[in-house]
Amino acid sequence: MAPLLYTVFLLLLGCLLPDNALAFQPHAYSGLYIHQLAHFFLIVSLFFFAVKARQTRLASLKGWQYIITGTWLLMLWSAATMVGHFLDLDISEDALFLPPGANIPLLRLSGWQEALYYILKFDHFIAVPAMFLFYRGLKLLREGQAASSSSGQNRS
Amino acid sequence: MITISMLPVWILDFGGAVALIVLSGLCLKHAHALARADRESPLAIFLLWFCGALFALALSRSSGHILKHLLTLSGKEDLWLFLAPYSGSINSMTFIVIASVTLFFNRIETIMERMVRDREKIEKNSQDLFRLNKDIEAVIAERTRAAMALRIAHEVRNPVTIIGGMVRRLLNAYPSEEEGRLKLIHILDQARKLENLVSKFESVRPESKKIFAPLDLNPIVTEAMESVQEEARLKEVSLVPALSPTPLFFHGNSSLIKIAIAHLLRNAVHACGKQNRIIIATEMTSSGCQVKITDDGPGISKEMLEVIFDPYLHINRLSTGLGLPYVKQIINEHMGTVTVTSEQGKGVTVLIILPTHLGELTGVAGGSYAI
Repeated sequence: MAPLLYTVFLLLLGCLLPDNALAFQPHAYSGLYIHQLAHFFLIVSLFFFAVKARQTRLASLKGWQYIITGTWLLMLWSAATMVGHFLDLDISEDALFLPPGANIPLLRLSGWQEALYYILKFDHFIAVPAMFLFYRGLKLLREGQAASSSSGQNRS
Repeated sequence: MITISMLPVWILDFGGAVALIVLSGLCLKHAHALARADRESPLAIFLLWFCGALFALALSRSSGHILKHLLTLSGKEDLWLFLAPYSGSINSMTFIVIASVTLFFNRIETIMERMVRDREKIEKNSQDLFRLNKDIEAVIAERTRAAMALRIAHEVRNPVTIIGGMVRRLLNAYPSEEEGRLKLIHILDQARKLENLVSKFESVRPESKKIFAPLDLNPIVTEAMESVQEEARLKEVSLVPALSPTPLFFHGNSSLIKIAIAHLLRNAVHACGKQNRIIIATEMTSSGCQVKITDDGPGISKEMLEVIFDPYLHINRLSTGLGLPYVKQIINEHMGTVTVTSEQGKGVTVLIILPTHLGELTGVAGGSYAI
């Protein structure tokens, strides 16, 4: 109890200092970092989920096998988009430009960063299959549930 | 220097965004159906939350991408620049929600595993109860049949014997040539048939014990111990097995003996407290197969011991389950004995002796309260 009271006292003492109050900080550039950290948090939690789910009895069910594979793909998608966001900052400003009179921009491939950026822009090639695997897995789980409940009804 | 059009990226982005919304919507629909079908399943609830979060991500991200292309193509890029931070922030929030929901999976799986274990235990207990019920019904049916047969035999035997005796006397009194004598002989024949019938009724009684079979006592005692293991663990009471290394064969009914031993063990667990020990020993003695349950709990007073098997008595120590009279009944059915000895403050010893063949045991040593 004593260390807690001591900590509270120190914090209250801090409030008495008028200069350089740290309650508010500017967030002008924190948006991207928050987004990237959210991507990272997503990857970490999905990793634990996929690993844990594989260790359980659920992994023997076809539906859950699809969901687990979909989770690995979603992790890959999150990692790819993370890299894409970093490359967004990394590539030169004039690499992506809109030619006069055109609506669709062009990308100038001046290095590997631009090439990788272009490839990573096709991230739906990972995201859509991941979502399809989730859909397929859930559909199988639902069919399995319906089959087991109807066999139960037949027995009764 | 190579330049490349972003048109393929835009086309795929647009199509992929629409596909993501549709697929995540279908995922949510299936997850909702799963949760609705099994409202109490934590796993179904988890999947519903997970798919709900995925749908939110797909909706926010995809609508942002579609909007971006539409606004850019229509020359309203400024509006997109205004909306982009909001779209990105919502996407970040949906990532956090998916990640948070996913982290709960570990806990949910633990709950599910426990639920499965408990369900298996309940199913096993139900099967045991069903078997026990069948055995009890069989015992009651046999008893009822035997009682009815004996009652009929008793009710019929006396009049038939009297009729037979009277007819014999009349036969002795009638001259041999008279017509009535033939009728008396016919009555006597019918009386003898009735006597034979009565003897058949009486033979029903020894046919009992059909539900009994040769058994090994040790596995039954082990199963009884397992059934009270959880209660003992919760009370921090140690169950110490000291089973005979060799099989202890006897003739009996496993369900009934198991329920009797489990009841005695449960009583002991309820009476004992932290750090107490209950020793369950089995061995073959000259009297038969022996089960000895010894605890170092508070014990029972001498006055209580004298009336311990009284069916109308309620003692706190013995208030669980079906009651000691039931245990006594089961052991009686097996022609065995159950003995309880105790010294207050030093614990209780319950001794069950089961004959190796029914009817073998006729008594038990004194010095305690035996049935």
